[in-house]
Amino acid sequence: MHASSGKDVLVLAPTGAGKTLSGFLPSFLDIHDRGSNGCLHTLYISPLKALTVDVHRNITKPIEAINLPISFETRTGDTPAGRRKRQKSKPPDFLMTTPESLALLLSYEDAETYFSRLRFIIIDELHTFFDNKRGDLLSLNLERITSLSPTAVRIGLSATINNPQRALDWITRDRGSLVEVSEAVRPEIEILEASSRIPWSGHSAKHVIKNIYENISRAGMSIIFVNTRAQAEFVFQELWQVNDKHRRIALHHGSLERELRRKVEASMAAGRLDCVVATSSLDLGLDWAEIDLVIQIGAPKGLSRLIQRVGRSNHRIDQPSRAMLVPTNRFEYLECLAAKLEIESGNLDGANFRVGGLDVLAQHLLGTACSGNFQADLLYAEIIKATPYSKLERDEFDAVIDFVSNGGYALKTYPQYSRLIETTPGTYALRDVKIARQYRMNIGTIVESPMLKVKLRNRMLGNIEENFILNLAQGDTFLFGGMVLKFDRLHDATVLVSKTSDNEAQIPSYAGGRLPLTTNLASAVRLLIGNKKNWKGLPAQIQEWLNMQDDRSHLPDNKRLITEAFEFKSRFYFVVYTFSGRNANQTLGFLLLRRMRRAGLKPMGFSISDYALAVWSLKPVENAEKLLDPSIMIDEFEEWLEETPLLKRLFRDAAIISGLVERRHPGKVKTGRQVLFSSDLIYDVLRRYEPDHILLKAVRRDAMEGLIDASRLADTLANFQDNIIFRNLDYISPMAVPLVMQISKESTVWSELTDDILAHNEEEIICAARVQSLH
Amino acid sequence: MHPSGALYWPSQFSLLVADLHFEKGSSYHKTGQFLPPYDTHQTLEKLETVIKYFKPRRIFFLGDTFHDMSAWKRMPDVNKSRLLNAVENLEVVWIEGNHDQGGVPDRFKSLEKIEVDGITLRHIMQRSFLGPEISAHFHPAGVIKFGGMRVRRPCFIKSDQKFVMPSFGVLTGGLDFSNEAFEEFHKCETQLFFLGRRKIFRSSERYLKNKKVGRG
Repeated sequence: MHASSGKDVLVLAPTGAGKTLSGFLPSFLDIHDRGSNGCLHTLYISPLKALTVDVHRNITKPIEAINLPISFETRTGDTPAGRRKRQKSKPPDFLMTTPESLALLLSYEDAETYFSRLRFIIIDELHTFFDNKRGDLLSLNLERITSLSPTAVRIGLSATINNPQRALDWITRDRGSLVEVSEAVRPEIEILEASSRIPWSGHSAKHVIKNIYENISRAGMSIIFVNTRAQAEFVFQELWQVNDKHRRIALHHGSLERELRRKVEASMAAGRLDCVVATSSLDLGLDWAEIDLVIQIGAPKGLSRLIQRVGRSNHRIDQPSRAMLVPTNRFEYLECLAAKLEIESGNLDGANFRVGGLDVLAQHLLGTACSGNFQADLLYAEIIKATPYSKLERDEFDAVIDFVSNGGYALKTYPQYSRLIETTPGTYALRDVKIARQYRMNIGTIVESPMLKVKLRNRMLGNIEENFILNLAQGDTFLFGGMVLKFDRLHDATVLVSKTSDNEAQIPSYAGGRLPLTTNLASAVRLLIGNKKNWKGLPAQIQEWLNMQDDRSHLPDNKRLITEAFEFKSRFYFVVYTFSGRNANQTLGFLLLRRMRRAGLKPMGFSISDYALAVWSLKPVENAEKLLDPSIMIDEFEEWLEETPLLKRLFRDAAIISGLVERRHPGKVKTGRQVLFSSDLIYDVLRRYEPDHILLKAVRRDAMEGLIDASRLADTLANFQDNIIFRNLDYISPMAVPLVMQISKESTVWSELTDDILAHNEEEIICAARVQSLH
Repeated sequence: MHPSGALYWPSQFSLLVADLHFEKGSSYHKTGQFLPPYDTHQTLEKLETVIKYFKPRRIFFLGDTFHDMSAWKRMPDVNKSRLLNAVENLEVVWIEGNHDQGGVPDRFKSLEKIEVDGITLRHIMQRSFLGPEISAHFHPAGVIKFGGMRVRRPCFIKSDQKFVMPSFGVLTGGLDFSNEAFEEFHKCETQLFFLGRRKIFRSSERYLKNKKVGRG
């Protein structure tokens, strides 16, 4: 009971070990001994609203059992206004909330008294916070609380990770203590043995849908996890087509209307469903249903994520969880097997820790100003105690203050509108309380991509990515909410659709949100392919496929970087098997376009997977080493970074999080489509006039870590610099097939090419037009 | 048609520009959203460039030249004189838009519409009007697909009687051509002219919607 002695603690335990409840124990003991003090005593923070509700229900029993006379409530964005108001004036002893609601509570003027007698802060599912901006915000808010209530003890609860010391540094002040609960039983994982041929490419799982159906029919309650919403729609649709035993199958993903999702969850809890097809929307922690079987369709992409999903089944500690992996293509089979082997030998992914975002800092500074005047020196000292910001330079901190005050531009206009005013040197105050109201409507670090509402007659079905709809023609069909829908037209921010009798539909393809393959799993896959001794567990057809690759080209392994060049349908392809994840591969694709263009090879586009990338060009590649020289990370990289549309995508998030543009404004409801100005255009203007602006700096830094994954790519190129194998082939190689198939579907626009593409387009139309006039 | 979004009318020696939205950035400052204050400067630069290039005798502003009613008052003096200097030797025809009604610099007279050589010029297209008409307002844009790549660009829209201009201002977004606002263009033979970086590209509406022109 380290926490009872006033020391911070981190508890690492596998899913289902009852760690949430254990986190509350010191708190129960304390309040039992001392009694309620009429103030907030314990704060419980979880990443999910639903989890706060669930935990609230779970602690009711022990509290009633030991007859503790305390009040305990939840507070999230869904809490009714009346109760929120009461919670503010008369806080409960225990409050269960989310990071966003916590930031809101901290922004009120009475925050100091509100938190002054806090004794315990429990942070659940801590591992979900290390690698994202939500975690940045939480870490800042924890330091804020520590300043307001220095004796409050922090208790972190996390799934097992392989670098617990860093997690300990992240969550505890000084050196806290670490409690590791070891795994009682390893999960039982099997790979679905397909009775049919495993496809070379694609992600449809169509070939095994009957096998999947048999398995869910045999199990009691099951969850089928997939990696994208599009896949969820597809699998759901396919299962219903073979549902001759009338199993009750439902769909759950983040784009569906909240009401629909809640209904599905309630039905699961009540045992009224047999199977749910879900995306990561059901990944985290709810224990409301007895799940017998977890099926993962598609590549697991990471060990921790897979363990988390597998842990959804059987929440009893003494029995193993059961899971089935369903690879949808041959590469995925390798990944599934590698993941299974790794988990069986107890290996884990490392948690990624990030450097705190400057956009999040801007939001936090404004929030702090909303609760009262602040002194820059003191606040700076507080902020660098938060692990993600421990290396924050003072001049950057000052630049963020300037940004929060008035945008931080060299050209100073309209000082009367500044958000902060410096009352005495170094002390800042909010200019107008109206700004606090605006701030409170815009808290949070989760920025959704622009979405459009989907409406079927008078019924709202959910939201869909604007980019997807803009690619549809009127009359095109797509799957959504388990139905085949026809796109009729756009009305303001709403997509009007009608039902069709078609069984087939054009599948929505959501590009975003796909997590890249983790480094650990990637190297496990490499190891599996590279050594024929490891192939025992592979079905004959996969072995044949690998042998064919070996005959025609070369097998990737963990010592060499395999590259191939071949001609296919009068285009020249250059394929690099990096195994570095899709983000790093995408970056390399863009860089290669530049380098190949310079070399006169006339590159036209590329496609990527987690394992490899393929660039196609009008002239053949003859020297792979030259193209892949690590200097590409300097020469081409700097240039590309300046122009890439990927940075624009990140800029949109940063502009919203930092408060440069608002999501919501008092009295106005802003929907995705009607944003009044495009953040792309702001980005262009800033780049031209203030290339050193703090927000551009923030975006560049974000990009290096996540979307661009520059460090991983640089590592790959440096590691294999002298071990590049280049194969000139007469024909496409087996492993390159998926990439070549993909190229026509989803390669990305290169901004410099714009005019070339348009010109080409025009020629095509002219050709088409000629054809028309002949007939 | 010029890739800046301006339209030159040779027989009239006239230049047409629309939706400049001057001072859009600063109009958000009072709400606490500090958009970069450089948009006016950059739009002016574009305007000066096209005037220099075409050397027109007359310039038509097709509405929403200012982002709001007080934009002219708010505009820094240096930019005010740049604007006035740029059009100094030209005949200026100022058509008002929905954003800038009444907010016109003193020396220009603002009109609701004007007829030139049988063509009506106004800010917002009038559905019931059957004659030839040039309008603006919607900031049309569209996506062109080619070989799996997508490019989204502002565009001019041309049908038999109607012509819609893209916006000329730098901080103005675009409304996608699939939007209901362009409904009537979906029903007739329409051509889109996309603004490239250096030239204009033509594409037919049907191709844009991913259904290549029918063969026979």
